[in-house]
Amino acid sequence: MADTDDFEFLEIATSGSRRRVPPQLVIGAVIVSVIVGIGMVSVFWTPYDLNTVDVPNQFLRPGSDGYLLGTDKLGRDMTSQIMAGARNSLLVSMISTVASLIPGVLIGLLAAGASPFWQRFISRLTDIGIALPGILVALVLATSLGPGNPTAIIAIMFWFIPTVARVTMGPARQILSRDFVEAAQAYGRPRRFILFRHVLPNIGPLIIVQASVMFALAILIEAALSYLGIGAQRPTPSWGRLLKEAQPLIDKAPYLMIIPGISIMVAVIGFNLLGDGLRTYLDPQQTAKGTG
Amino acid sequence: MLEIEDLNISIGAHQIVSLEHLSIPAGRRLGLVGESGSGKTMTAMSIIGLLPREAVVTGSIKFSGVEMVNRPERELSNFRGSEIGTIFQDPLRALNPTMRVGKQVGEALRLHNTVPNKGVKQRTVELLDQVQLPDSAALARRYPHQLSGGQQQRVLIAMAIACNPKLLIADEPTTALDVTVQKEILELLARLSAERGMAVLFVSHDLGVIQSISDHVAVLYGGSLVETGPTDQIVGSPRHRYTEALINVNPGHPEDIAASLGKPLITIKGSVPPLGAFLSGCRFRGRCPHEVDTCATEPPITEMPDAHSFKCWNPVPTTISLAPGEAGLAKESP
Repeated sequence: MADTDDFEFLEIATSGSRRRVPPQLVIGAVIVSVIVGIGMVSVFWTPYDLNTVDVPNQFLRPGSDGYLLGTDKLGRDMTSQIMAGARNSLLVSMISTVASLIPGVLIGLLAAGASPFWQRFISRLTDIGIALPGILVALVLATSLGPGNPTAIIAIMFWFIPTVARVTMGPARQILSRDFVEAAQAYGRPRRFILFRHVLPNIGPLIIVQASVMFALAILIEAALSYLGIGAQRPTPSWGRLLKEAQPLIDKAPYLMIIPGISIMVAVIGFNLLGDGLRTYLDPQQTAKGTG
Repeated sequence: MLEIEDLNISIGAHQIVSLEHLSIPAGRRLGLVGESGSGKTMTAMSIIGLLPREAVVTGSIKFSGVEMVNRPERELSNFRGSEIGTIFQDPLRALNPTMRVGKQVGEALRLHNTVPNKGVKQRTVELLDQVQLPDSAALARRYPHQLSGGQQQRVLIAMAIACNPKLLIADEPTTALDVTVQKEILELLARLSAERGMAVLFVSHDLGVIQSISDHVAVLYGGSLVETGPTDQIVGSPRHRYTEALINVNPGHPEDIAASLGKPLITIKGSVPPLGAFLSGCRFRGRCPHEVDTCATEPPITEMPDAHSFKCWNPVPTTISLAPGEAGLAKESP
């Protein structure tokens, strides 16, 4: 305690009372906002119509006149398809991440505060959930629900909820054993209140990091499912679907694979950097430096 | 106001606390003293029902006439914070690190509807003023780790007294603080108790600290109450051999430091036996230098005037002259 105090004094002396913004947060935020921006623009405007076939202009290389990222085998503009793909990726990832986080965190928190029996029960349940291979679950779902974005979202939720519950429960139990929780009990706070008011904020940074990792992972999974043909179908634009369509042409037009591949990679890196930066930024020890 | 009768706390096969009788009249201050592992904290926490899940409690704890033992959690939490305030040993760990301290004090007010929502902010600042925190409005916006240990403890005290409790349980509230801050906190607690007519159960291993704040002292050893009585009597003329030993190990007060330097520190030989390893009869048997044969059987409670009572077969004679350590302690007695 004494040394954190000293350290803090030093921080105040050198950097005034400002919060330090970590560089990865800036880089991540820039990448993410560019992707989000592109996705939003694509709703209203793309250079060409997504699905207009223009066979004479097929297989134009990136940088060709009027086609920044070239055209595919039917002469459709790659720039437009990548832009619209960003929109689809973000939408699917966001819905599935949020839809997994809310029940996952809720289950984890309540389980942490429950009796030992329920704790074990939920633990085993999440074990089973984690042990099931996600892709397999997605394939089974696709056969019953048919391919498409909703299938991808539900598959990702099945994949994520057990992990989120798991990741929430452990730290929540740790926080519950801390003195300030006992103090809160001694001050007459009800159990639920303590869970949401005292435990949740303390595992908040962890959940945020988990959310960003999940978001990045969701982009990958969405791409993978679309690549396997379970996710987005034509005419729904998707990076994964672009990869699938480009695969047979890998020697003829490798750029058709490279461009969506790079898009996926950049998006994943962007969200990971954002999450990492947020974690550093939201750390109460860090936030509170200076006047807080 | 607080009446404890035949309290037994056990975990598994081990009996941790076994108290015949202990009471705190309204507005009075009782010091509970004993070594680590003597069951002080368990006794204190049993009042508000905050014991480990496995603990089994029997007997009776009556708070303002209401039985607290084995009362459902939901009803107990109505007492916690509102009727009975608590402060803890390590203030930093007892505060939520992610919440501004003002908010945490405000939460205490909000939860028990002590003041209307609009008045919470103002009342928070008032409370912080009452515990003598400087620049309370600005301080309320800080996080716990930005405060010094003494300030953190003051915030905890503000939280504990927010709803005007009738009883304050102070579990080693000064142990984590340095000596000068200790004194300030003790004075603050004494003042608040006097101003508000608030009873205090003060738990500590340090008889010197207990002496400066409490009217009555209860000495606990191995979960059993060995001696209880008015503070000046306990410190001035202890009867139980354990109390005597506790007083003798006190190295004395700062003014005696020069004199005590170079002298070996007096200790109580051995240490508190682990749970279940106590000998039969008097719990202090085996460590006591004044052991007699009868000590193997449970000593009776000897009642003396002024509510002074003890449990010892071979008590300190009442006319004993003061040992050097005692002299130091006795000086400060009010």
